[in-house]
Amino acid sequence: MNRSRPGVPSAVINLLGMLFAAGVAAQDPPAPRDVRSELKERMKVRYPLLEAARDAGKIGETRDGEVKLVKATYAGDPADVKDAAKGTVGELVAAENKDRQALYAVLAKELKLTAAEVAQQNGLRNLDKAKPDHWIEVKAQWAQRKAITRS
Amino acid sequence: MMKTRSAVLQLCAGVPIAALVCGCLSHHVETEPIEIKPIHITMDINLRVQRELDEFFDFEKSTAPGGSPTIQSKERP
Repeated sequence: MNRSRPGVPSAVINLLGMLFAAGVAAQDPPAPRDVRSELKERMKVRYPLLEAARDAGKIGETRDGEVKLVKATYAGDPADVKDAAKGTVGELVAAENKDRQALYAVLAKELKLTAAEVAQQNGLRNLDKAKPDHWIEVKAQWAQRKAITRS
Repeated sequence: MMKTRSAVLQLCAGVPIAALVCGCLSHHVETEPIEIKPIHITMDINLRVQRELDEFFDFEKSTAPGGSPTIQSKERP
């Protein structure tokens, strides 16, 4: 008994299957530059909210290149009091850190370093550009930038 | 005639012998050991990372904070 479909040779079906598989395999992951552009767009939109939260003393920067709530109770505060749709400060922090980790991974791959090394460099960068009243976490203690001396 | 023939024979025998002798000789070139300066390399890498980060976060300079988003100030920790 012939089990192949009538009128369609099995070789043709196999060939189509192979072509489909090759097409699926050819779909490359997004290029690092595309990932960077997407990250940059998101972070650019988020930046004014983060800076306002930093100015308000609700969030600060860590030496490991992360943004962090200065007090856990600030997590539920609105990120923008004029627009509740922009979520809470806690959500803002989580989204920013997620994108920062992705950025550190991309840069680490490009520069042949670890993500932690890139993150530490960004931590130093954030320390340098912080305003005097901004909060920086040093050895699990919060301190204002003006009280920290950079060696 | 005989002299010319012997000269040709000598040449025919001499050339392969000379080639064999030269092939056995080896020429060594002394090279200076590669010097690695870890401090300078680390600094260079850090500068490259800083440059990449500055390039990525260039919007921080142009985006003026304190525009539309407002956050009520709270007590400091």
